[in-house]
Amino acid sequence: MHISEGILPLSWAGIWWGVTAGALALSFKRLKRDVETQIEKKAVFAFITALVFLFSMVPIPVPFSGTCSHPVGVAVAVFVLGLSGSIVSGFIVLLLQALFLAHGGLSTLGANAFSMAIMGSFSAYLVIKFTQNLKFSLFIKGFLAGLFADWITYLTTAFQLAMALKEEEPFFSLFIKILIAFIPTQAPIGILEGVITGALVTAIYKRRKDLFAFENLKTLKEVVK
Amino acid sequence: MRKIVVIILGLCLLLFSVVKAEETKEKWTGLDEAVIEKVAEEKGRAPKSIFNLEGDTELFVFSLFSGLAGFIGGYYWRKLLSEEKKCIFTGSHHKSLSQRLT
Repeated sequence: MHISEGILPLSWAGIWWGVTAGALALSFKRLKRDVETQIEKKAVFAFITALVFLFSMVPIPVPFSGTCSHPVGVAVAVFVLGLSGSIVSGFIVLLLQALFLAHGGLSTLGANAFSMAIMGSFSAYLVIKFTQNLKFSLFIKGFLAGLFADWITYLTTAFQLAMALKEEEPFFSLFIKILIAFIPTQAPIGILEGVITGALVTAIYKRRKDLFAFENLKTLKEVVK
Repeated sequence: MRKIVVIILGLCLLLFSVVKAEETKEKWTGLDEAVIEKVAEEKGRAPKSIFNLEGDTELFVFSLFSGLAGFIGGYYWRKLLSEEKKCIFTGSHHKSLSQRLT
């Protein structure tokens, strides 16, 4: 989902930067408050950001399509850091990748952060909220959060590209074309991301459930079966 | 037994991957390149790079950052998860990380 430098026209790059900057400012304010009240959050933030960085950098070969792609990793961040922490964490990861690894770009950082850090995190957050009081195992909750975070990220990227590059072509036609091109690679990667997220959140929960950002997950023992 | 099954499945996946790689012209290009950049180029918006990582410098930078991120992740996994667990199991009165940081 890394849109490279120069792909988006400046007007679109500016719009996505504006939206991202607003969400980032709110998230940063909230994260700062959390870190001030719980000093351990600093270590947790570093830990999760390193994990998201690794997740979103590893190219995994997909035999069905003959291409490589990467998970996004933000679902784990939402479980542990909450929505605001995950947004800031995702932005830092994408900034480092744009600056040092030639992944993405600076003008397109707003768009990339919107798709992965904001929409990816938000979709995982919604899944967690909707399933919070359901008697699913934590692994299934993690699986669904990881799966949707991944797929929604790529859906957003397809939307951003179609909006910016449509020219004379109808938006919907280009959107579907990009989406179909993503599916053979990203459908299995999304499932893999779901499995990894489910396993990781279950492992963290078994050791330190107090680290979780969601109250119900801290107290409902029956979510781990 | 479970480990053996995982290894066998992993090997099958690798084998299948190699077979599929032979069939495709462009082998294992990234999705960003295969889809995003391809669509952008069709629309006359070729990607520009902020800087070029030439030769093995790309490998160096990726290795360096992967190593750093792996070290940070592993360090905090031990600090936050393993050491705390050890305390619970041994019943010792080690201070938690939050207490040590304050």
